[in-house]
Amino acid sequence: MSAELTGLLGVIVFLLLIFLKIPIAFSMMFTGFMGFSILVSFNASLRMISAEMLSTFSSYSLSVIPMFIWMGFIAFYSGVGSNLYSFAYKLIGHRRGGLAMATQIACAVFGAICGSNTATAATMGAIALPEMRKYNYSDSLSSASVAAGGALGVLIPPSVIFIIYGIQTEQSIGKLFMAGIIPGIILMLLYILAIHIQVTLKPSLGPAGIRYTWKERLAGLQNGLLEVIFTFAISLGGLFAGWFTPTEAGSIGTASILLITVLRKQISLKGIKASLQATIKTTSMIMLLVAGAIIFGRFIAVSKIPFSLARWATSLDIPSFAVIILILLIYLVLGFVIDALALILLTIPIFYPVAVGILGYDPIWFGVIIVLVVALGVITPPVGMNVFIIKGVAKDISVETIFKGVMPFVLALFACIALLIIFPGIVTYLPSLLK
Amino acid sequence: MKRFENFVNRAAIILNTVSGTAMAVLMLLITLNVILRAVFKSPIPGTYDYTGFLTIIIIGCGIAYCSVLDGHIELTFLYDKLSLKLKKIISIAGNLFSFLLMTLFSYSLFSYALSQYQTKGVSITTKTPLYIFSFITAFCFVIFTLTIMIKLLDGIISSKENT
Repeated sequence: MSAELTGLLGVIVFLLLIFLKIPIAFSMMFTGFMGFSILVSFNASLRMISAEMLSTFSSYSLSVIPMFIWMGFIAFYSGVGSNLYSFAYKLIGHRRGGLAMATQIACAVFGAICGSNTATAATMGAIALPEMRKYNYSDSLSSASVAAGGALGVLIPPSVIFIIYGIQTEQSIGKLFMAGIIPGIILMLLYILAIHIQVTLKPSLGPAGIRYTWKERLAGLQNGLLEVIFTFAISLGGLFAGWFTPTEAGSIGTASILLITVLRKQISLKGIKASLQATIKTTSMIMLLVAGAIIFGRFIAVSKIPFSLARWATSLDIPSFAVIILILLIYLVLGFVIDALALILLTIPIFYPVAVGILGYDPIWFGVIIVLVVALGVITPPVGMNVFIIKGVAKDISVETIFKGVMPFVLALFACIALLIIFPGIVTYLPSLLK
Repeated sequence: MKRFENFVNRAAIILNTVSGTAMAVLMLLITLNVILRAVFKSPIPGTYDYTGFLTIIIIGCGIAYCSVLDGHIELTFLYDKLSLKLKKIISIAGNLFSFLLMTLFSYSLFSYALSQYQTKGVSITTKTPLYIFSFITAFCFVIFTLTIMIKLLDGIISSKENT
């Protein structure tokens, strides 16, 4: 049996295992271990998994992950999200659909200190949903706007998925973070446009709320926004300026938000403990996935699949643009069924060499595009993670209602992807300013 | 069975506390290092090594409790559509599979740690023996494997009770 065929069989075995509810990390480890055993040797494979696991767990570059995750969970448990929503709500809540629009703004700003889309969706779900329901917003618009808004957390830095992509492809995490800012703002505006169109066509979906005075609106600046601006400026400002490594930026950011929320009595000892617990759980889950993906990646490398795929892609008599669209379609389809993070980890060793190495696409642009494509998966059926989080917050709203309401936001996401493909400069401009 | 389950869960909780402590220490260490470097031009020697050691403790000690909390990502949309009987069979088979896999990996980690002990491998800056952290990880994997074993036994017992 050829190495390529073994690799292909390995991918099939992996898919079979995950559909049988074996944790994705274990499935990757098993497939990688078995495949490496067949193609190299059992003893080499056994040694490879131990060495890879230990080097992953003790990696300095990967230590950035728990730091940024903790920063997000401190923001979550300290109620910063609630203050942010209150500010955005006072600003535009008086417009038709204004509360749903305020949710998008709050999600984007919260995303600036939280690297996880699920944490963003959970935070805003708990805060924004009850308000929207109080003002008789339709269940589909209110729930879907929070689920979709959570996806903004993937793009707006810091983003755990960008960190993983950066480490896997050896790209600058600072540049990736920078690259996500403009697309994140564009996506937020497209979401707001999607809400505006919906409430214009059917005003009963999102009735107008109370109008606040400018004095009341500006008072909101002191709560919520202050913490975000302070943390973002110190942590990511230092990273963009080249003063810190990503790990240091995460650590400084965590220390800053912890300090400011403790001083302002926004977080208790219980809250700090809960944030630590949530961080450890999420970090362990992610790091086991990363270790699994690295082991799986070793197998894929010795199977020569990326090499064969690259050779095949260059032999095709179609423009490179069509190949990249094909790759994105594969991501889109897989994103419907595989978790965003796992999908990135799993497929980067296969598609990155083709897209960047052979076709010559910009690695930062490619990273932003695939992160956006897999972000679709967090709000689309059947495994839209954010939708299930919102379902957990609003138990009386059916999953079908949320998925139905999400469709205009899916169109907005597609529009954003199309814009970035047509005008790649939107992604590459800010990173080009970095040294 | 209950006593064994309590023992494993307690071990997982203790490891989780160690992980949380390491997390706080890591954040303080890195922040302090940055401040000392920026203000006094005198960084803490060996921070790079210590970061690696603390990260390995955070993750190694955290995985067992993550398993107790069912924190590892699974695809359930096909599984959810199955009958209760089939779900139980798949769940037991899946846990057996995971248990065997992690037993093998725990063994592999112990062997690797032993080889590091014999070759006296040390870290670059602080010259700390690396086998210490490899043994810690291997031990954590054993507890992690035991949490999977409990899920497996629970599944078998509950399916027997139902039949």
